[in-house]
Amino acid sequence: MTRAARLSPAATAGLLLHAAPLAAQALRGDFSIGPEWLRFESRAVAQPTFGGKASAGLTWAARPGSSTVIAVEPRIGFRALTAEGTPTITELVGDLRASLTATSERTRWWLSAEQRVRAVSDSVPAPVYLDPDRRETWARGGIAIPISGQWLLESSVGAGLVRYGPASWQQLDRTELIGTAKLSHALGPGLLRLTLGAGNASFSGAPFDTRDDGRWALNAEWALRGSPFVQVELGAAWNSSSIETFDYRAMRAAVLVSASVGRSSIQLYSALAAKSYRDTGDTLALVDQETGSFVIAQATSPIASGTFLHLRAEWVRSESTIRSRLYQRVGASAVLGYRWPARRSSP
Amino acid sequence: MRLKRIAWSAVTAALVAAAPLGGQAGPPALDSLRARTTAAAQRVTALAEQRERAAAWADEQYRAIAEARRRDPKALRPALRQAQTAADSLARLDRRLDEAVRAADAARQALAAGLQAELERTVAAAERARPPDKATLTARARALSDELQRTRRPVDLPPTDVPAVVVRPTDGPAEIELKADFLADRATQLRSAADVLAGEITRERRRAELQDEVERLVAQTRLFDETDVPPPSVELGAQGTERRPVDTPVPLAPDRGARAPPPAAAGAAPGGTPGGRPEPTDPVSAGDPRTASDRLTRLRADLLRQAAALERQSGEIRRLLRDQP
Repeated sequence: MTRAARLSPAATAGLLLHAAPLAAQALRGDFSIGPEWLRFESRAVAQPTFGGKASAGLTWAARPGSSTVIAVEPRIGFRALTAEGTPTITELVGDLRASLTATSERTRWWLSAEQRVRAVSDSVPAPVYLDPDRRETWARGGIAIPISGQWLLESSVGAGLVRYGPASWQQLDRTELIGTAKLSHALGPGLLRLTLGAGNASFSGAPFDTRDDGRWALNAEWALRGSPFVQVELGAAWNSSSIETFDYRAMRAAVLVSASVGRSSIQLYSALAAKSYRDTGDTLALVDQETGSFVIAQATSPIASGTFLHLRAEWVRSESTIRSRLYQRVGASAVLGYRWPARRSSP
Repeated sequence: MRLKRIAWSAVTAALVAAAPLGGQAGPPALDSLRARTTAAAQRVTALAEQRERAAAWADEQYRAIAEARRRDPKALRPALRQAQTAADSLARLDRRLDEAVRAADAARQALAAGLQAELERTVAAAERARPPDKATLTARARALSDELQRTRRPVDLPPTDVPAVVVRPTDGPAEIELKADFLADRATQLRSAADVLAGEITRERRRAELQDEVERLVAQTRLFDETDVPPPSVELGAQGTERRPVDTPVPLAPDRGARAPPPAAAGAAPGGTPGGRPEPTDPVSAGDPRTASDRLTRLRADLLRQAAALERQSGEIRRLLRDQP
């Protein structure tokens, strides 16, 4: 059996890439589908919806040399929601990412490119809220260097283009430049990481004035990657815009937990955020920075080899893309997930 | 069995710490870390021995209960009391032993960090040094690297080398029996090493599953822009090692909540640039969450094969002894 034949169930993309003479490859994927109930609420109006959600992803990676890895990771998702008296609302999302990582004795560097696309059906009646159509293209690069033995410094830069579909949202079209510096150090059984980030966003579609935002963020997080898996985080961010309406300060605390319960496991993913605009003027301005709080609780049970049932409950309270207009969403879903294990090959 | 393993680990750690760099002295901080590691290991050994003695004494007390039931019902109450004392004493020792093992592990990790720092300094100095000094510094770096490797061993295993034992024509019955016993003992040791690995494999699989669930949950929510937080970059260590127990945390956005992008990720926006992602991981190894456990499973299978081979050899030697005229 040829190598390509062994990997053929995975994806056509995988087969094409197998033509390259690579030293080692791995391919894995997952698929999930299930019903979903969501109840949206905004300005004292509530709308329950019922529908389904499906998603699939692949990770293909190869090691052309002993210290270099290239990877391609496509992922797509689809959601359909029906609500009384409204046509079916659909959402199609896709994410394609490619990366190159190289390691040496002391350093690691990486380059990556990513394309994200989302398409939402034309009519999304309030209070139902889904992010509008959008395309994003990103390129990033970074390096990690150990310093003074026990500290690791990671530094990265990136640039991105964000383009919205609906004409009324195109004032949020923008070009972004970003840079981060992170220091990591072991703390107790986990890892502490301090991050300082800075960036700039230039909005090309602003109808009234030139908009240019400067952004800063400070973040501290601690993670324990064991059983249980625990991560906690505290952060603050500042946005200073050439238009005062968009100046804000934000704080956020987040936690991520995954723990075993017998043969099953539970996951909790939650964040509490607060954001305040410095200017109380134009409260109907469109904003690209949403701040919200959410709690997602999930129970995962294996039901067969590679097949899992996820029961999920969620609560979200977030700013919609209109400044200071909050919406709330509660939901529940039962998702059946299948994963096929990594297929590996060597020449 | 557990005690033997702990004691073995402690002795190994003590040996590692006591004989650094082939007898070379290190910087004072490193020496102090070595001394601390040795002391912690010695404490584990002492407690393990104490606990072994206490367990033997407790066994006697438990046997005394059965004896009292059978022969002298009046002695039953004191025997029960004594057995309770023995059990309490064992529980106390277990707690102390547990604390000592944790302290020894922490000391070992601190020593590893110190060795790593010293190794990096030495390598940097070797790069700058002139030829006569370069050789000395390179040798020192190699010794430090060896010591670091011994100190960082991921799993404490009993000795796993397989002895080469041959019965010679000049061997008498006692010598032949001794060799058969020796091989059987080594087979038992290999099986106990395999037991240690079995526990490690289970833990590693569970850890990988939990991490996998987190990754998928975050990937799902990000895909639909519900939280827009990227998947965790968990597989590649800070310096490229695979699946280290502590690693790059999942980047959660500090400035925004639901549907908000992650500034904390490498390559992500600081002030809320959508689409922030973590640095690329090593998906060749990351592609299979069972990589580490697979490796341990293969190692365990090897140990069991070797144990079976030694048992066969031991049996053959015993047969030889029986069949001797």
